[in-house]
Formats: sequence, C-alpha cells, structure tokens
Amino acid sequence: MRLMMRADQTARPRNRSGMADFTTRGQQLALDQLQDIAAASDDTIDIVDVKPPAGQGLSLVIRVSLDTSGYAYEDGGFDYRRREPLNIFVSPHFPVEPPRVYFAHKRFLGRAHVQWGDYLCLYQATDVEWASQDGMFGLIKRLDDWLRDAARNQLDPEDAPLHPPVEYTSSDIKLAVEIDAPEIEDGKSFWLGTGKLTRRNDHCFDISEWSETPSSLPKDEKFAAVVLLNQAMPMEYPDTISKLITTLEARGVPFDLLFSILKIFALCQPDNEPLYFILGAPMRRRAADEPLRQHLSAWKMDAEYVKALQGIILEENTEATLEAWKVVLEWATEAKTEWCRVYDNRPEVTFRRDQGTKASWFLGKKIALLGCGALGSHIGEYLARAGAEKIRLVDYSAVNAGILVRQQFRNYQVGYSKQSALSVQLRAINPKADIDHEFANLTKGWPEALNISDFDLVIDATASRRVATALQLDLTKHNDVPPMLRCAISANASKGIATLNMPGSAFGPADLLRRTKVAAMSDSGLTDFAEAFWPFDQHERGFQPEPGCSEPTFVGSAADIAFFASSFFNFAASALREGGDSKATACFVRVSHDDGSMSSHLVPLCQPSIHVEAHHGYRVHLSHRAQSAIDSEIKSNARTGSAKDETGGILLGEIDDALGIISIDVATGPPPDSKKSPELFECGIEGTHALCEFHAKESGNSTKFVGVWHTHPVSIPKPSMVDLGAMAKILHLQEKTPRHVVMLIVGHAATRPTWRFHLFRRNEFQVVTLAAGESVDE
Amino acid sequence: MSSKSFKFGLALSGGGSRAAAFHLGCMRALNDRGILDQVLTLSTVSGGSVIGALWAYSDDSFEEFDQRMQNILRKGLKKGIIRYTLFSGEAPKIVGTIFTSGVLAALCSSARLLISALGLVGIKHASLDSLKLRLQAPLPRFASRTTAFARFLDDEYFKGTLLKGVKRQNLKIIINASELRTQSAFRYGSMESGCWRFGTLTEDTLVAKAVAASASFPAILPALDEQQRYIKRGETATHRTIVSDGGVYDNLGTSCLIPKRDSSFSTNVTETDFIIACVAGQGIPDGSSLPYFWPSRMIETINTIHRRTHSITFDLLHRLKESGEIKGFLLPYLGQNDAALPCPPPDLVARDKTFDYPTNFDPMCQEDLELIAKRGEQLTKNLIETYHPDL
Repeated sequence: MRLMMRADQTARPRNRSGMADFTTRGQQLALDQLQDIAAASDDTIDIVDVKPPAGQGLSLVIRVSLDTSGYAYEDGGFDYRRREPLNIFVSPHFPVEPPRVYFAHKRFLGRAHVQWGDYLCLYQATDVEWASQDGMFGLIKRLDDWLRDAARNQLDPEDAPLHPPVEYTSSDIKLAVEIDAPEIEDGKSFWLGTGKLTRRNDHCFDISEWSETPSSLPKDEKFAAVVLLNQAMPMEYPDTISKLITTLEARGVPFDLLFSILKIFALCQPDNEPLYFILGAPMRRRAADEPLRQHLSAWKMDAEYVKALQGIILEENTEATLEAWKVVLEWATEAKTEWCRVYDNRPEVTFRRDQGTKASWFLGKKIALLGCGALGSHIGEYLARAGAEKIRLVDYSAVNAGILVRQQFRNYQVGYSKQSALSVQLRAINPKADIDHEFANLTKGWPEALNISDFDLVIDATASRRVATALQLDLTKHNDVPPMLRCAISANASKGIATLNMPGSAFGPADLLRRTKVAAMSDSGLTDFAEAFWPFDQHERGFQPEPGCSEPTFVGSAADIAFFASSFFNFAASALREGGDSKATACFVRVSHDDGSMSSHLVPLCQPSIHVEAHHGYRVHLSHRAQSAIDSEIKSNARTGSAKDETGGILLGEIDDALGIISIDVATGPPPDSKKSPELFECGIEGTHALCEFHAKESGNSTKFVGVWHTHPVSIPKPSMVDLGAMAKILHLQEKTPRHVVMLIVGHAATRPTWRFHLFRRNEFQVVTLAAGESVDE
Repeated sequence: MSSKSFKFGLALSGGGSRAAAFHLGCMRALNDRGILDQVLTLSTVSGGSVIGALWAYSDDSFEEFDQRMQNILRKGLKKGIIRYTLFSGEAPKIVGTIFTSGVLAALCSSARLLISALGLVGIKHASLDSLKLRLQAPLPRFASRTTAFARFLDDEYFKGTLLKGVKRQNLKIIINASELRTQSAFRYGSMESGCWRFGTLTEDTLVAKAVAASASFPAILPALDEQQRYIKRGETATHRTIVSDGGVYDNLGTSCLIPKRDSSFSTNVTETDFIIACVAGQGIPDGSSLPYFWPSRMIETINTIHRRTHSITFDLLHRLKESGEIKGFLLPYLGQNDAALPCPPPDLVARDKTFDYPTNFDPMCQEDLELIAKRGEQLTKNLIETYHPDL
C-alpha cells in the first residue's frame, strides 16, 4: 500500500480506509526507502503489513519478513525461523530518530542485546552510529549485521568490552560507587557483606566501604546488604520481587538466607528509612583480556516493608506480628523490584575521562601550589580534578569581594584566607585527596612547615619577583628540589609566560626569570612579550582596582585567566610526561584581543656552564654563546700564527649581589686597538661603547659591561700584577667607574685551558698617592 | 640550542677569484667557531667550486689549506689555462677539434644563416625550415680551453681524484653547473652527478672536470660538450650534454639546499636545515653604469637578471626560516650594505674597498686577497654573533 504524503495540519488527507492520516514526511520517506529495498532484495525482505500511525506523534509500524537462510548458526547463537517476522517502528521524527526494531515474538527473552524480550538493541551510541542521511538503508544494513552476529553468537566477542545488563530503574535514589568491589573466594558461590552508605546529597548515597559479614551494625550509620554472585544474572534483571527471589535461588542464594539477610539489615535501619540491597554479578569487562568484574545494581526496599520486617522480629503482639507477616508476604509475592540507578566509577570497570591527556601526569602526584589567586585558584581546581594525591596551598591574603570576578571563590567565602577557602573548594571536588593549606608569606622564603622534597612539583603562581628571589635564596640550601613551574600574565591578560625548571637545572627561580627575559628580548617573534613584561619605561603603576589603596594588578576576566591557567597547566604536564632534554623551558602564550586567536611558543632555555668565582664564591653562569665566542677567539688567535700571544676581550652580562650570581651572556674578541703579546694583553676600547649599547638595548638592560677576559697561554689563571693594575684602572681611574668588575683568565690557553673568574670590588683597591721617589715596593 | 643539532649546508657562490678569497675568509670564521667540520653538504658554484673542491678533496689542517689557497689565488688560474691550451697534450686535440667539429659546426651555422637570409628576401618553404632545424653542430667539441682548464686543474691539484673520493669526514659535495640543451641544473656530486632531464651519470667524473665545467664562464670559456651515458628510472641512454658555468642556473649554489626537493625532478637531494650561503656578489649598484650600445646593454641585462635571482633567493631564505622549514641561515654577502649591520665590528673592511674586484681568475695581489678574505671572516663572525650566537 502507498501512503499519502501529509499536506498540512488542517486539511488532513484520508487514507483508503477513510481514517485521518497522521503519517509524517519522515515516515513516508522511511516507507519509500524500505519499499525500494524490498523491491531490490529478491524476496530476502518482504513488507508484510504497514500500519499507519493511529494518532499524532505515534509510530508507523512496518511488519517485514526476513529470509534468514543466509545466516550461519553457531552454538549459543540465535536460532531464527526460516523467515523471521520483525516489526519496525518508525518514529514521526524519522530520520532524526532511528526506527526501533522488535521481534514479533518473545522467544529471545533474556538474551543479551534483546530488551523486554523482543527489542533489538541495534545501537550502543546512537549519536555516533546512526546516520540520518542513510535512513532505512543504514538501518537494514545494521539489522543484517546484528542478526548475522547474533546467529553466530558473536554479539559479545570474548575479548571485547561487555555491554552491561539492564535494570529498569524506578527509584529516585541513586548510588555512587568509586571503590573496587571485593573478590569472591574460590569455591564460594557468593560474597555476603555490607556496603557502608554515606549520604552524598538528598539524591545520592556513596558506597564508601565494603566489609565482610557484620557482627553488629551501628544504628547511626547506614548500611546496605550486599550479595555478590559468582555467576551472571539474566541480561534483563527481574522486575518483581518474586522473580528476583527465584533468580537468586537459581544462583545459589536460598530464600531463607536472603530472608535472614533482609531481616538483619532491616533491624539496623534507622526508623522510616528504606533498605538498600546491592546485588553484584560478574558481567562487566573494560577491555580485551581483562577478567570479568562485578556489575553492581541496587534495589530499594521501601520503609513500609522494612518496618514490617522489623515487626516480624520485634513485635510481641501476635496480631501485630501477623499483620507484619501479611505485609511481607504481599511484598514477596506482588511487589515490583525498585531498582536504583548506580553511578559506577570503580577503577576496575571504568576508564578515567582524562586518561591519556596531558593532565593524567598529575594523577597520584604531590603538588605544592604557591599563591591561590587568579592563576592559582584555577590551577588548583585542575589539580584536584586530575587526581593529585596531595595538594598543599600556600598564600597569606584574603578573599575580597572584587576578586570574585575572576578567581575561583564563592560569595560566602569573602573574608576567608585564600588558601583555606581554596582548600574547601578543592576538597569539595575531590574529598579523597589530601588537601591542606598553609598561611605563609612567601617573600620570607619557603614555608618551614613544608618539606620541599615531599613534592613532585612546585607551582609558583604568585607572579612575584620578590618571591622568586626569596625562594632562590632559600632553595640553594636544599639538594632535592622538585621541578618548579612559575607563571605570570601580562597587565591586560593578553600574554602569559610560564617557565618549567627541572631538577639539575643551573637556574633558580629568580635567575630563570632573567634568562627568560633575555630569551624573549633576543627572539624577534617574542618582542611583544618583551614589551609587555619588561617595558622600557617601568614608571607606570599598573591597574589599581581600588585606586589609591590596592596593589597594582592586571585587567582580565575569569575566562581570560582560565585560558592561561589551562595553557600553563598543560604545558607543565606535557613537559613532565614526555621528559625531554631541556632542563629549563619557557612557554610563551598569547591571545589576541581582536580576533581571539591563540598561539603558544616553547623556548628551551640553554643551560649555562657553572663556575665558582675565586674570591667571593659567587656562582658564575657562563652562557654557551659567550663560551663559544671565547673558544673561537682562542682558535682564531692560534690560527693567525700567534698562539703564544695573549688575547682577550670584554664580558657582558649582569652581576647580582643579592643572589651572588654573575651571569655572563656575551663575550667579544679583542677590540681592534688591543695590544697582544706573549706577556700582555691590553684590551682596547675602540667600538666597545657602541657594542655595550647595542647589547644593553637588545636585552632590555640585562646584558651590560661586567668585565674583561684574557688568556695566559702558558701559565696558570692567576691575576698578575699587570692584571691587578688593569683592574684598579677600570675601578678607579675612569670617568664612570663600575662598582665591581669581573676578570676571567683562561690559563694554559694554548694547551689545556683552565677558566677562572675573579670578582674585584672598587673598595678592595686603595688609591695611594706616591711621593716623588717612592716606589710601589715600599 | 647547540649547533650539533643542525644539519648544515654551506653554499659557496660564483665570482672567480674574488669569490674564492671571500669564501676563504668565511670558512676561517666557520672553522674558528667549530662549524666548518660540522657541515654535511657543501654546494659550490664556479669560483666557489675551486675553493670548495680543494677543501673537500684534501685532508690537511685548515691552516695548511688556508696557506695553499692563498698561494693559488696569488698565482691565479689564468696562466695555467692558457699554458694548457697552447702547450699541453690538449693543444693538438683542440686544433683537431677546430678542423673537424668546428668546421662542420661553422658550415652548418653558415647554411642556417643563408636559409634565414633567403627567408628575409621572401624565399620561404617548409622543407627549408626543417633543414635549418637539422643543421646543428653534428660533432661534439672534443677539446677546448675548458678541457685544457680541467686538465690543468687535474695535473696541478686534483691528481685524478674522482668525485666520490671526498676526504673530509661526513661531507658531501655538490659542484653546480648548467646544462644548456635542457636549460637545467647539472649537478656534479659525491653522491651522484647529472640533471633531472637526462638522469644520473653511469660513471664517476674527475673532480677537475666538474670544477672546470662549473667555472667555465660562458663569455670566456666554451661549454663542455660530450656524449654522456645516463641512467634514469632504471633505463640507460646516451645524451649529448653541453655543460657550462653553474652561475648560469644558480650563482649562489643554494638551490640544491632548499628543503623538500623531490628527487624525481632534481638530483643530489640532501637533508639540510641550516643554510650558510656565502655570496660574493657586489651588492646594490651605484647607478654609475649607463648602458648605451648593444654589448653594455646585454651585460647589464644579464646583471639585472642575476640580481633578481639573488634577491629572490635572499627573500626565500627569510621565508624558509619564518615558516620553520629551515632552522636558520647565515648570509655573509660581500656586497652587504654595511649600514644595515646592527652591531658591526669597528674595524670592518668596508664594502667599497672590495666589491668592485673583478670576477676573473687573474693573479690577486696580497692586499686585495687579505681585504676580501678579512671582510668574509668579519661578516661571517658578526652574523653568527648577532643572529645565531648559540652556534
């Protein structure tokens, strides 16, 4: 029969039987497509009957008969009739919704992937598997595959993840389980015990603890009865108590045992509360080669029946006991099974939704988070969600109303200290993690209460240079400093820089900041970062949200910060997961406020070679660049036939007295007016002024004149009287004398070079005026 | 980033002795910095081929090489070419070539001129046109000043060394020439030699011949004209091959270092991610030349085309760096505009002291040699310091 297309809602066409036609366009399309398929199928599929929808919003039902002779039957498979009758229900919303297919009988009741005895479970993930453009062609192909696999008992191959059985839930209470189920001892047909229920909220309990057969149950806590079977339940769980009783009996749980369990647990339930019964059966598998795990389901016994059970045991009045028995019997024979929804998050049967992501590095890690402000409060949340095992939050400022615009605090938390407020938030996300907080001013250094070697990562989200310096001074005392992530964002939240310093890196938090600056300054692709973080003109005070009385901060929204926080979090996670050669890496992230485009750029920060200065014990960080330039000049000096002549040049960098670090970034060869001889290198000055200016500009004033270097081709790297004289000249006899100056001597340069650095301070030289005729010796 | 992680390709441009002296200076700076020994591919053109091949096919210290190169440049190659043309075993062959191949070629050429003249006076016929097409030089030029040049180089410097016999460790060399019949790059190399149209040569070639071909400046030296046997996609065939100066196709020698070349359309495909292109070009002209008659017009036309390919190549290097296809490049350029250097050495040999040195193989005076080489060294060192200090 041919159905008419629906013209419009008001003038409804009538079909041949004179009834109003509720067939939608979609249903008509389905029928047309199926007729095409049937016509081309050479009798494999016949349309037996078409029932138009009897009313608005109802399905069109097409009965088909399918030739099954092509399906090979294997043991345990579906044994079809030669022509199998099927009913296809086409929803009025076809093809957006796929049709449902039913067997015309209930012979396959209880088989996997057949629900309610006749419904074929064709699609596991409809959104992915159903393609509306394929329509009935796709459906018939899918049906054909399903029937073929079912005939060969291949719907659940041995090594595939198992489809869980179904319970038709009716209770409004849910149970969540996040701990693996107990094992059943060998030789036993079930495990009997208790599941401690902790109330998560009004709608949900947690199964928080399993324990063996109880001796006594405290009444102020709630416990569920638990029976875990060692054999499978039917694919569709019993929908009545009586069927459940027989199903359990068939699996080795006699009724009297079940009844005793129920009585014991009924006794320990608080008044007027229902009893939960957790039933497990080995019907779950996550992936190939994994053993079968328990599928957990739960049913609820209403408070009324619980009370009746209590009555049977406790009532002394015969009439009351009888009444109780009546209720119980009525329950056992007539009640429906009230299955509860179980949110199963056990590791043994589920996969974490962040598995394989960068964040998975943090699972089980111990993290110290310094600074719980904009970046810190966001990063803290990511840590808690990623499953960090231990989190210590350090801060000393308080939540105020203004920061709710962008920091992860709640209105009620205004006035709390940030670290304590954040710890409350994080515990609410992951109560299993060990989360604590520490009130500490980090500009005073690493908090004494925390042992730094206990952590896998330290995240410094304070964006404070003073904190960096304090930490660097403090951390030199420790040998086992874990990796450290530091992050900061620019004044308008359009750029962010994170650095990751690994154990064994020569840098500390503060000089890594300097190294990052030099890297940004020297990379033409990063000049916008240099300008944003190290502006030439530092006099601007920055944004003050409460003018006159607040610390300058940046302008940015919660969404801006979330982007940077997640970028930095993933940068660290990725670097820590993959290892890699770089001991220190900077991550430059920018987002355009014009079009929202984002980009990030990783720069490995070259490790300097480390020397110790001879007089004051300063650490010397000699850059690869400076070292190459000196090596190259020594080689060039030898090549030009004067290896026995001293050579040298000038050193540019920075001397940090606070940290006791001399950073040498650049070394040059001899200026053209230098004088070289085997006894003496007299460093010239031609062009040095322009050179110093060039580097100072290039580096944002971080790379300045710090001293000179020269070789001693055949002697030790000890300053001679001539060298000391040269130092005195630089420190005292110039127009603009520096406070201190570094002298590097490369001893035995011609054979086996030995590098030694000497720092001379101006006050270490005394100017003595000699009277006429006096000599220095006197 | 350590320089060890780069795959260096060094290109030495053409430009006669001027180029060789400039490259010597560049190589000094690269050697001082420890980069020269890390170069994996050396690509040379014309004058650059002379110094490049002398480096690749010797194993003396850099200092010895430096001295040897200076001696060669002071002496010049011109006398050697003349001597071998007139007084070596090559001389009778050249005479023989003139009287056989040369006479035939001249006859054919005259006949073609005649047909063209007939065409001008209105006598045209299809058969005449096809005859004209067939009237090409029928025999190769067996011997010429260029073969004399090759023989001189072989006797004096390369002593029968074949291209595969590179003596520097891990170094591959590509000696660039141009094939005039197919107007394609002809690359002699230690891996393979040939051009993409014909395929690769079945037999190895003398280094001296490759260098002479690469440096046979077409205005002065004839092309190498030979029947050569090639293999292409498994099939061998013989092709008459006319090879001239590498500068005709690519005077910088960078074309074979560009990443992502396809070996089905190119020979000597290498892996390079850091290009060092030493270029001995003159730089921006000052506008003093006023071409008027045909010869000067033609010369300036060629110069303009050259300049255009230079600037396109410079631009390409920048783009490759920006796109990440190469990790970096250095471009020491004799004609560098000194004012554009951000931090030049105070004693830099100025451009105008060197750039107009001619591009021939005449003997060089010590002062010119020193100035040009020093400029090469200073520029290379300065570029490393300024743009790639971590090398």
